[in-house]
Amino acid sequence: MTAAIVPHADLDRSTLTLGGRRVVLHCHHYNVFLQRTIEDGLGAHAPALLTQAAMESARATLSKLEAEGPAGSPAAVIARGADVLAHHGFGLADVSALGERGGTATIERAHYAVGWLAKFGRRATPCCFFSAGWLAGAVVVAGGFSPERVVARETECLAAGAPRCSFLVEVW
Amino acid sequence: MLEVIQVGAVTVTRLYGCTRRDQYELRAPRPFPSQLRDRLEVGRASRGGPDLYVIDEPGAFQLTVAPKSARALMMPRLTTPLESQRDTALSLAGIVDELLLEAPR
Amino acid sequence: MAIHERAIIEAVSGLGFAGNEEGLIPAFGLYLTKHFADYYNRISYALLGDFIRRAPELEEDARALLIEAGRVCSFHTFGGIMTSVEWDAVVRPMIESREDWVLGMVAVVNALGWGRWEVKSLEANERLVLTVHDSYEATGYVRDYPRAKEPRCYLAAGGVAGLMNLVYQGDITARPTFSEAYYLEIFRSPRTFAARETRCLAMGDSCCEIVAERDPI
Repeated sequence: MTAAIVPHADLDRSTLTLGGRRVVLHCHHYNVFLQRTIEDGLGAHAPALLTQAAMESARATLSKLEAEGPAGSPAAVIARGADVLAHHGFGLADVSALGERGGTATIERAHYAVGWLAKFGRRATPCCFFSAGWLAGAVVVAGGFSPERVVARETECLAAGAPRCSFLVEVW
Repeated sequence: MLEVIQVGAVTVTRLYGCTRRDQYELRAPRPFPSQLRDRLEVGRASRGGPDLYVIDEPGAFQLTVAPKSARALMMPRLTTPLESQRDTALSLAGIVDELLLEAPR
Repeated sequence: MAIHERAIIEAVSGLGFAGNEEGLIPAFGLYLTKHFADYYNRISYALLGDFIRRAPELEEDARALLIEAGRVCSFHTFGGIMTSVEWDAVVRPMIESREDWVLGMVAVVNALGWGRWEVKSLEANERLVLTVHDSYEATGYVRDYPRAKEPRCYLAAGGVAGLMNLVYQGDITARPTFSEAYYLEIFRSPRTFAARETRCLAMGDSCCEIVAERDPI
């Protein structure tokens, strides 16, 4: 794990930052409860919001990390995105089939899926909007795309009964 | 709470974690001996100080230990079968019990 | 021994939370994430904005939903932390009174990256006044939105109310089980603690201030 993806801690101000952005520790109870609140409150609009917000987080963070120290290649940018995801507790993503032109990725034990199962049990539809958006954001940075050119969705989810979480990222 | 198992002087409580993982709390009537960390560290990663340390075995479990409080919590990896999670917890409890018997009161 | 906040912050920070080979962070009997404050802020304030656009009077509903998420957070997260092995090792040896449970938990919060929580006054079993410097909610709001007429630290408000409920309305010292029934017992009681944010960076104040009292607000 490279030091570049470990948040900087300011113990006097009680802040953590990565790529100039605030990072905060929260557990699965809050994460999945807040997501359910958003899904209940916004209905059909929620998946797009949750995915886009995650894409923005990835874009902002990974762009800054690129500016601080280029990963070297589009594949390396995506791999760094996956490293951040794993280091920060969201699950280990296999991004070997994901490139700057899009592709697929899987996470065996995604935080949101595991947390949802633990707190609420199985659900009918995929729940890992954060992971989907994050992977899309990594592709945006890897390819230097404007964000609207990249869309991502979770095609199968552990929380919906699949053996793992699978993601499809498309570049238009 | 799902189950309470006694391993010598060590009480093992199985707690519900999620569908793929239970958590195991290990408690003893007196502080865990200092030799426990040395014993658990063999072949495993550890971090932390004497009052609080974490033993980690990739692919198997994480054990967080508060020796003075005579308390530890094992969180198995999600990829391990539930039955082997239980076996691992009981095995760890056996080590604690063995060292408690050896340690002077 | 009184609560030694710096020692707690350093001990908790020193645990080095990082994903294991599964990419997960088990700690305090919970799964932690080092999450992105912008993400929480965007989705929370989008919910608020959506409700206000539908009807301005729905702002209160959105606020209540987001504070409820904070209360649930405190119930499980603070509850999990205050009954954890880590707490027993680091904080519990410093505890001499029930009030120390509040101060100890505030010290742990100060290792979570949420900004600096500082207890201004604690009236046992009645009232807590706490300030937050660099609140991640308010600083994110200030950066991305116009000045607010109402406070915006929903997680913090719910969290502070929850902390008081765990310590004084419930009995965290007895290591309760964090069940739905227990949640209802302590958060739906007529004597439950409620919190209001009396100052907020998002409204132009120099810091955020949260007051938790028994009277429902």
